[in-house]
Amino acid sequence: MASGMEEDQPAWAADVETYVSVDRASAVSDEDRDEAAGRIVQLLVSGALTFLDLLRGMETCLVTTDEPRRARGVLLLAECVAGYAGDDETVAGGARPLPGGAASLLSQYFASKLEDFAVLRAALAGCTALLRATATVDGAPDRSAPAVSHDNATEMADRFFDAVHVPSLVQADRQRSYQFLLALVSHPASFADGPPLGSANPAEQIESVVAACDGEKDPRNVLLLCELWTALPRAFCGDGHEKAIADANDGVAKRRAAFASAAEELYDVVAAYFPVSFRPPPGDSVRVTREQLAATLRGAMCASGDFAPWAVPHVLESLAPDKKPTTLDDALATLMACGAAFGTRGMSPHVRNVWSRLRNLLLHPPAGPELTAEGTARWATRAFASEWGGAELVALALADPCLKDAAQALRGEGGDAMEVDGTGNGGGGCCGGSGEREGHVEGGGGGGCCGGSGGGAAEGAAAAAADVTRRGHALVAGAGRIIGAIAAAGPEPAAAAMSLGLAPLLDAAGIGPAGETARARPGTGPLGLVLATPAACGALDGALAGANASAEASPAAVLGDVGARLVGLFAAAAAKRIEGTSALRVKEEKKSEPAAANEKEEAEEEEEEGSQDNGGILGVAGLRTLLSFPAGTGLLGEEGARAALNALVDASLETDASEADADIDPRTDLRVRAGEALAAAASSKSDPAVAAATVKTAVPRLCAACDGDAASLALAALARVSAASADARRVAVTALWSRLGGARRPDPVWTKPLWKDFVDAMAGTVPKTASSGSGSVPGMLQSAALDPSTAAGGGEEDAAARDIAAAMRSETAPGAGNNEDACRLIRAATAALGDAHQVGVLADAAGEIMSGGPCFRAACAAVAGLRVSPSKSTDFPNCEDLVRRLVSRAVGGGDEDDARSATEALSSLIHKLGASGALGPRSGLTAAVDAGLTGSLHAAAGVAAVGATLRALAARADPAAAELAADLVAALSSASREVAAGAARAFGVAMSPGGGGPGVTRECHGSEKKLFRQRFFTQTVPAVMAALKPSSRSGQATTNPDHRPAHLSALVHLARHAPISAVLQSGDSILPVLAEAINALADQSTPFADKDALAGSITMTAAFLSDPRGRDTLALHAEEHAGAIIGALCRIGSSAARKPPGSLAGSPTLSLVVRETALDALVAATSLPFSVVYPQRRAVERASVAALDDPKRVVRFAAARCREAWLLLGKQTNTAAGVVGACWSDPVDGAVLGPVVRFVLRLVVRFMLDPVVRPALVLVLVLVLVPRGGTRDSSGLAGLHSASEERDDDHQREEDRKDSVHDLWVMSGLLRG
Amino acid sequence: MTSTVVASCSRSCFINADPIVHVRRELPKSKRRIRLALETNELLSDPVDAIEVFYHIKNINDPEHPYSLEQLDIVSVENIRVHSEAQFIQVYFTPTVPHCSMATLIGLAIRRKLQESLAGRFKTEVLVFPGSHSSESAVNKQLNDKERVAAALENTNLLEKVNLCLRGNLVL
Repeated sequence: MASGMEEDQPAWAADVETYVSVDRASAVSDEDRDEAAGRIVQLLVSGALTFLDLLRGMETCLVTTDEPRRARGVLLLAECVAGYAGDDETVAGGARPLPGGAASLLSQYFASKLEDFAVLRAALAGCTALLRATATVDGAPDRSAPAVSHDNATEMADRFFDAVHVPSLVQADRQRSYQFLLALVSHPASFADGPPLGSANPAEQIESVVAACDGEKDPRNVLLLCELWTALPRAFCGDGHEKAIADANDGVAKRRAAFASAAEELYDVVAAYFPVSFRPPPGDSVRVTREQLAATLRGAMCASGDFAPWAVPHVLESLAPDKKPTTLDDALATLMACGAAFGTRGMSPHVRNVWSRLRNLLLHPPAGPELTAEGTARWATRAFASEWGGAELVALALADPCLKDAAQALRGEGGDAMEVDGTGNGGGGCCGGSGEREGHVEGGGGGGCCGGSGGGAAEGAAAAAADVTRRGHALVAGAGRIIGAIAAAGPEPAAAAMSLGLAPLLDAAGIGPAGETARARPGTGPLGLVLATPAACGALDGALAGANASAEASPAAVLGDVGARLVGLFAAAAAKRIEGTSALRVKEEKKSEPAAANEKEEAEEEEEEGSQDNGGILGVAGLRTLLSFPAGTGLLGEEGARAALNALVDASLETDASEADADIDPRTDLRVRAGEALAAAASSKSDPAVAAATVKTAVPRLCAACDGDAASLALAALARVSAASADARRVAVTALWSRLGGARRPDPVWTKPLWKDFVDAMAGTVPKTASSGSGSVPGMLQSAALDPSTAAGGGEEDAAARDIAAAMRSETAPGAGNNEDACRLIRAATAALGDAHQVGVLADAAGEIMSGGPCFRAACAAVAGLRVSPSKSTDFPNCEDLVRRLVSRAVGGGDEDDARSATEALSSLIHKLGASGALGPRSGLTAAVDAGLTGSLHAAAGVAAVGATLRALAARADPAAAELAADLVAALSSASREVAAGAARAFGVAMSPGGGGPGVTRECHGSEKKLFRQRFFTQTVPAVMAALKPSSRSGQATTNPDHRPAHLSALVHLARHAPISAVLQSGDSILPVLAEAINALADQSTPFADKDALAGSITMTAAFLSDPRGRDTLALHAEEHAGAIIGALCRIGSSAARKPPGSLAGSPTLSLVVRETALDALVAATSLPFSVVYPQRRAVERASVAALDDPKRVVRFAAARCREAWLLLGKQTNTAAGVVGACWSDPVDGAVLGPVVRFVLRLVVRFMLDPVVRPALVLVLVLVLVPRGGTRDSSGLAGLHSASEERDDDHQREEDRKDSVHDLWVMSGLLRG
Repeated sequence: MTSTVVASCSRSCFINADPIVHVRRELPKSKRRIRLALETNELLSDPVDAIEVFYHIKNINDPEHPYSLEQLDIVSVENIRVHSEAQFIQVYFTPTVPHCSMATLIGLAIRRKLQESLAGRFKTEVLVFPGSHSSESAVNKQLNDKERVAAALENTNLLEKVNLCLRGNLVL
């Protein structure tokens, strides 16, 4: 009978039963329930099942007295509605209209269930799904037509408000309630018929909603509540375009009136959450963030214009200086949102109050990481630039008494008032309107100031001036911030801020119309800087904003007459004519408050280091800012720019006898900053007139200064300016050469001490003051060489370069000829010469070289700097003889410097002219070999020459490179070990970054093919490795064992400069010989010993161990080769013998970097398979113990790290692998037991797969291995205690029994010995 | 039984429930510079000094708090004496409270770490800072008795606790 009943049941009834089952014994999982619901939805969608049938089929579970089962039934129905209507994202096909009859039936059903507390959550879910569903109109789906009619929705709301008391529900139910309310107010018929929030009048509806939502605390629900509050105004008042229609509709007017009258009550609900103080608890799984809450709440607070009377004052309450920076940031963001939402009408009553609050914030800026003084100024700028009250705020700000107070402070009046403010606001910083643009950061950074202690002198005028500065600082800094914030709002506010705000204050400070600071009172100069810097930066922001907004309109002047005064003020500061600026501190880096005693010492030390004149820095930054304005908005006329440029030139040339050049910090060196400012002006894109003025005014002045005492400074500044602007470089090179280096001058430059500086500026060595800084400045000739326009030649610059090259090659030039600096200059000048002159240069140089003239090195330098354009390569004559001559000088055994110069010239010639045929067959290699190139590998000069030639050929992928490489590989098997070692080193020279000399670099027109090192490595390594691989028949190496070190050395030389990815790709062939290579390079008794190559091989090993790709390769070969590699690393890591304390360590065989890297590589080796590394632990431990006695501390630290890592490894012995490793580690047993244990393990694995054998085998293994593992456990750690290693098992068990005694020993702190 | 005692010891039964945490101290910049210059000079040997010893032991974890001995000011550079000629190192440590029952465990951890990190030629002595512990003499006697220390470190459970301190984990 039961089976008969089951046959009557439809198939989906089982799914219903699965879903509604609450029987714990059936253990239905959530996944099963979801699948069951999904299947029912599919039936509904396909039409095989109707909602009416479903309701009938579920009747038993929908009316049962078993509440959990009933709740599940209603929930299944709700999920079916949601899934059918497309509310469920898992259902494909999106929204699907509900049949009209079903919608009506279901809405009545779910509404009735709202009164059933047991199924409330499911009923709310069903109602919400129904309210979101759409209906069909005339048989077609219509997304705007709701499935639930307005009347049915109203009935739902009535029942909800009658039966449900939301605040008393649990969080999940409250969440459903808010979703239901949100669905109600989003009902499409809301505007026409009012929101279906019940049959009560609108005021009562609002009251009901407020009662339901008030007092919510859960952040998830608050997010929903805020969404509801954002939707409520739309439901009651409609959108903007509907308001015109609403005027004619009496019902809508009533709803709007009700909403307006209840606005305060509504606002109060969301106001309770502002400002947001929520912090997610640790381990939060809800993932609601504070920022998310704040943003959503902001939308709710600004949802309706009716909220404005309460929202704005409420937000302004939080804008107080005593609030936290987070709160202030949130409040400022909300204020701007209010302004955008409420508009001028809503905000106008509050503008004065807004200004009052902003003013307080600007005068007392917060100092938290969330909001700084700069951030506050940015918010204020947004307010000044806003449409809702920007103009009024600007007017209020410019008329504010704080500007008058600042004026008084600048005049030195009102001492008492200043005292109060000054003490209260001490430490306030000032900054520009923003620091977003790179160019502005300098200025903005320079503008950051904070209260200092005031000079430091205790008496007299200096003390009075410092007092004026200290007391007025906070007032003036605040005024500067206000003016800067106004100015950054746009061109018009900037102009107003300059003329109405800044100008009166400059008057008060005694700054004259042309920037004269002579009449300024003592102590007001620094205040003027504090005021002017943020103002100028803000004005620049405003001008740039205006230029970006209206690119076509003619720009309006921003600075006006104030520009000249600012130039005067900043120029005086840059020239250090303003006293007392040391009281100002430039914000380079925010330093946390000193927390430890020794930080005080450090702070004092840093104070000493940073005791430069900050006024100068502010001055230079200010001048740079003034020169950065867009055309027409900044300084008036050419005179203004010229004055600013002259001031920068003066600052860049300022000499200070008290400063030793070596101690100058390039970041704070005023001259470097001034040079950089001039470079920025010379390359100005925003105002071409400024760039032109720099070339016209500053460059000639700097050139003129090269004659005087500040010549080296002028040269450095010229190099900076020339690097930034080609126009400036052309003027500078010509003027500089005619002024300083002209051959006809009676007192040529090379007899002066500034000769080196001249060469640096011309030929591209980094100026001394920036040696440790970030910027390396190319020389003028170097810049010219890299400029494509100079290839065409012609012009004064080209003539000057030609002059330089010719004059320096002249033997009559005192100090020239073979002088190293002269050679550098010749090389750069030749590189800078146009194409037309290159043939002549080569002819001259070749003549000098061939004739054996006295200027051999100068001629070689000219050849190194040669420019050979592809189109002009055929113009060059045959140079085979020149190649032969250079080779003979390079390898002939003469002067070392001559040999080096010849090598550089040779590589340059072969690199640049080899492809043209001018050097004979095989790109000149034939001529070079004929001259004895490859026959000199036994000498260092020969190695350098061969390596440079190989590099010259390989860099441009010449086929001759492979031939030369093959010759070198053959030389590796030479009978002479010196020749073989030289051949190996030649590979290193060819691959190294500096191989081939400067003639093959980009600055000297060398061309390096992409990935040439990778290509050369992969092409050459197989030939080298061929001699190292064992023969497939005998298993022995194919070459003479005596030749192996040479091949190994060559392999390392090739690999150490090759890209690591290429080396790792060849790991299969390199790894087997890596350990042997390390040993070969470390053997000091052979000519193959090479410290650098050894360091390279260790680094390569470390790369194999640390890089995932290399580690994978190493893991494949680990069993075979890891032991040898680790052994080699151990020998190197512990190679340094202990020296007596305090004595000289002498010359250790291997450098400390090599030893440290080897030990670090051993640490990385612990990541290899356990079975491989475990047998090595004793050897590594011995090595690390020995290295703990290394004379160098860094090596000892590395040894300690290594020992710790390997000791940890030793503790993992209570595993089967540990036991195996322990067997292998025994030097006697290992040879026998290793293969045996491997065999046994294989058997074990095979048997473990057998279900019958497995349990027995596990039992046997446990019985055998556990006691042994226990013994080894102590031995692993007992590298320190050798006595414990000999302890037998009985003793161990006895120790285990005493465990409790020892634990008590620890806990009580008393040893019962 | 003892394991049960240890395991059941809740956070509320800390010997010092609220220790003062100090900020890590760095050497002054000038000293760092000089030290770096000396350390990178291949020709000079660097003698073992108090700073080096401190570097080795400063990161040992306190047994009952997630802070290092440096952060709790239990060890400091000033309380380390290195007698280079005698090859003898004395480390004084200061328990956070005078009745600290973890003093012996801390001392053992320091001793163990020094054994691992320093060359074997150095003799080390780990002592409680004079006047900082109620059982000072007893603890000092335990920590510097070679036999007792060897016996303690051969105990698996105890060694595990020491290793937890060395690896930066809590014992309790």
